[in-house]
Amino acid sequence: MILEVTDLRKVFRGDFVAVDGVSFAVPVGGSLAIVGESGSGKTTCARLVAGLERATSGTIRLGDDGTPRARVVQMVFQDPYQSLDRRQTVAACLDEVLAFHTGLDRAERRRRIGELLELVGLDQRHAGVLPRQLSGGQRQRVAIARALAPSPRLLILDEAVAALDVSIQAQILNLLVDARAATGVGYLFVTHDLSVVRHVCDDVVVMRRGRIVESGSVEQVLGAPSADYTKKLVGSIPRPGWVPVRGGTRG
Amino acid sequence: MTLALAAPLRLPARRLAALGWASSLAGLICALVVLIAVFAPWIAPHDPNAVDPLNAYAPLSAAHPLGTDDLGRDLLSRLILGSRTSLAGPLVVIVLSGATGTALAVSAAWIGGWFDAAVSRVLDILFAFPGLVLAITVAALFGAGFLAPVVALSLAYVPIIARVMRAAALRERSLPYVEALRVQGFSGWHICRRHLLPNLAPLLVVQAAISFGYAMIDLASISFLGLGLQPPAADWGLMIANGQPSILAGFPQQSIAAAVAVVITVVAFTVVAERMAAR
Repeated sequence: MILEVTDLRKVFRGDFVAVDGVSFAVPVGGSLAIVGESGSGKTTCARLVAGLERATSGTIRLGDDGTPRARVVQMVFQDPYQSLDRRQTVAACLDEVLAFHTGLDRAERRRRIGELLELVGLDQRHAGVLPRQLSGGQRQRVAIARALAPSPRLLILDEAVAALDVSIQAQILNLLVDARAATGVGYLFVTHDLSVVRHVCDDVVVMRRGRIVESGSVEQVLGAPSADYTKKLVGSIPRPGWVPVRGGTRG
Repeated sequence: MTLALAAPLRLPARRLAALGWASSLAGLICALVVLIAVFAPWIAPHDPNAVDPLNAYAPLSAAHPLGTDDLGRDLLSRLILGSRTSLAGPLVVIVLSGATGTALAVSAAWIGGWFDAAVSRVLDILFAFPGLVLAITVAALFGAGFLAPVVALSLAYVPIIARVMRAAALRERSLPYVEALRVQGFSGWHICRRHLLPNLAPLLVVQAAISFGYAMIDLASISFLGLGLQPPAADWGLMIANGQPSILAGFPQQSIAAAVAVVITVVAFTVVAERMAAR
């Protein structure tokens, strides 16, 4: 296991329980989705694993204990417009991470930046530009390249495609599938959108009000949900031909 | 995937026109004043300290375009040389207060908690203390001259810079890219130095430019009160004061010339600063 979370609990300001006794695990190179509606505690879980919040109780085990956290786990944020420093070019952004985490010299870092850009579907033309010259999808590609730069073994994707157009979402999801195949990195994929889970993940946990209501393989949970809440969630995915029920005709 | 590789290129002429004639003129005046200060000894037609009692209160002439003062010193030369200390003073003030204020603001915003509260309260107290009074007190304690009033005024300008910079630093700190950098494993020191400060720099430049005008007036006031530079130094504030007795004698050129120089320079710097702030 690259990530083992046991009985995780997070209480904010003394009384609000965001995460309430949650346990899950991601195998090496595996891909686990955490799904749930807003306020279900899924993002808090991601932030706890990333080290951005401190758990009230419970344990988070990340790979072998000796390695610095940043070389084991990296994160891609929801908002591609604000998660990059606006004054830093793409190459400078990647170079900063590489210089910090690897012992590569300047020429080797240049080559590695080229590899990373290629991995996320960008090329050398994008190296010298500032984030504002890129589209949302391109920025999210840069954010993924930056997260992959220290060669982490687990990538947390916190609503990483939620801010993108549907067509761009599909491109980024494909990129994530390819990147996992190419690097063997594991994913912790946090999303409210069940329709994107099947594409990227092997396993899924469904959260509601800080607790896990159902977990298992994607096939099993999305194909034959057992918990009522999961059935509702699965039933609420819009499908082709789906017609919303108008007010008044209900019941 | 297409990419707009060419950054929007603006022609210098169009850029200048977009600034408007007022700020173009102000920018020109700023550049001119700075050039005059830098090359003052070579531009000045006479030795600014050459006393010529036989030629006292000389009228405006080709040899003395602004006339001479009570000791027969060439006023234009003194005005030109005076630009040096008159610009150097405010420059030191904004550099000192800008550096201190920004360092305090960024560390307060980053560390937060009791440190932020303590820094904010100290700044509030400093705010309540008029800068001019502080500068006069310090000059009285440590003696008049260039350094004491400049250092005192720098201290008085720290809260003005720090308050604006702290608000901006808090806003900047809350942006997701800062969290992204933390997940990358970078230290707070690295994030502040390499990311927060460069992003705050444009605002700091504007703040400093606005403060420059105020500092110039304050320093001229201190010189006028006799607590700044001492005679025979050439300094605009001091010249206004020195010209005072001659006004009644019917020779107001010295005070008027120096006062006009102060007003024009302050207005020019402020217009440029406001223009930068509006962007």
